[in-house]
Amino acid sequence: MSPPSRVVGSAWEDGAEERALLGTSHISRLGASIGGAVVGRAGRGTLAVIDAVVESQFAAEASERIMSSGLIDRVGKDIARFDVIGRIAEPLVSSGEIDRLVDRALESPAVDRLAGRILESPAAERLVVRVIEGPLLDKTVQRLLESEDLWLMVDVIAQSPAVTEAIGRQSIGFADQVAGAVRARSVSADDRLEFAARRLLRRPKRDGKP
Amino acid sequence: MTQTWERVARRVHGSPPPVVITVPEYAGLVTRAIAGAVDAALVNAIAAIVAAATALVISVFPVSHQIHTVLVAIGGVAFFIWVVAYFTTFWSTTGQTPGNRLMEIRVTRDDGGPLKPRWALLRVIGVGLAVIPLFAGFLPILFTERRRGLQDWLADTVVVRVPRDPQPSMRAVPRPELLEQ
Repeated sequence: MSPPSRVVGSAWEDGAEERALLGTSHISRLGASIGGAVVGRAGRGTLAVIDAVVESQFAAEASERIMSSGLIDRVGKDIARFDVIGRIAEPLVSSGEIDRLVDRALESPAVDRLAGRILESPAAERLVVRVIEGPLLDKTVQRLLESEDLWLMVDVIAQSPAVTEAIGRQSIGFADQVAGAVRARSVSADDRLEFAARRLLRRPKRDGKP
Repeated sequence: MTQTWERVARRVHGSPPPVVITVPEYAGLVTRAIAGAVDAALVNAIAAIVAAATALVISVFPVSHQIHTVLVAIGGVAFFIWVVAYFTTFWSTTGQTPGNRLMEIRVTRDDGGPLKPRWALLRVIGVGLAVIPLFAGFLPILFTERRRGLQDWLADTVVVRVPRDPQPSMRAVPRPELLEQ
């Protein structure tokens, strides 16, 4: 009888180790597939049970009892007491997830459609009419006119180079227009006066003149 | 196309190109009167401002009646010099006073060149002479071919229209004296 070390050594030499490893791998894959099938069946069965429970009369009654009980009030108070919403919102805000959600919502065509419907609705028109006809606008305008900041802003705008340049250009343009009209009329007046004077003295017309 | 054939024919026959005579469009009496009125208003306005400022300064000092008379005489001479200098300077430099610029007319020599100061001075004197007989010196503008008044006869000048473009407006009208040559 050979010692155990000799047996192991020979097994190594004959590739028995490789076969052993292959066997282990097969077994583990088989186990995994059996386990997956079992888990899948168990999960589907569980979901079927949940569906049956949710759709049952018992669930409806349970829900009604829960809703009518003081549990909801207590839950609400606890949410407020432990600042659950704040604790949920804080990481969302700090991570920028809220901004991304808002941006995505604003970029969606649904928001455009909604805004269009709101603006075109008779309710919006009524709201605008009420704002215009109501005292709010008058008070706002009155307060605006009474504020010194407004007149300061008007002064700044009126003295801005762009505005003064535009006014100057407009004035020059108007003066040019008037001067052009005077010139045109003076040319015809020259000809008329000359024509009348020459006719008076029975002199011929100037060469090249009509 | 006709002009091209004409050029070819002239080159073949060795004929010189035709001389195209163009004359400037001369300004009439009304245009020149408006320009003169604008200049007169400007000259008087500046003179009035200067006179008022001078009178204000002089009023600070005690001035006797005789000195006052002398100052008035000096003011009159200064006004005369101012008027002569105004017209002489503008006519001999750009050929246009501000009134002329407004009405787009220019005073030039008969040959189209600029006026020399002495001719401009002579023209100012001519204007004065034309004014003396109740403005009768300007009447020849209505009857002469190139619309020249007494001052133009004296200084050998004409007044032409100069629209916005730098060249005076030309009208294809033959000049009588050139055609006679």
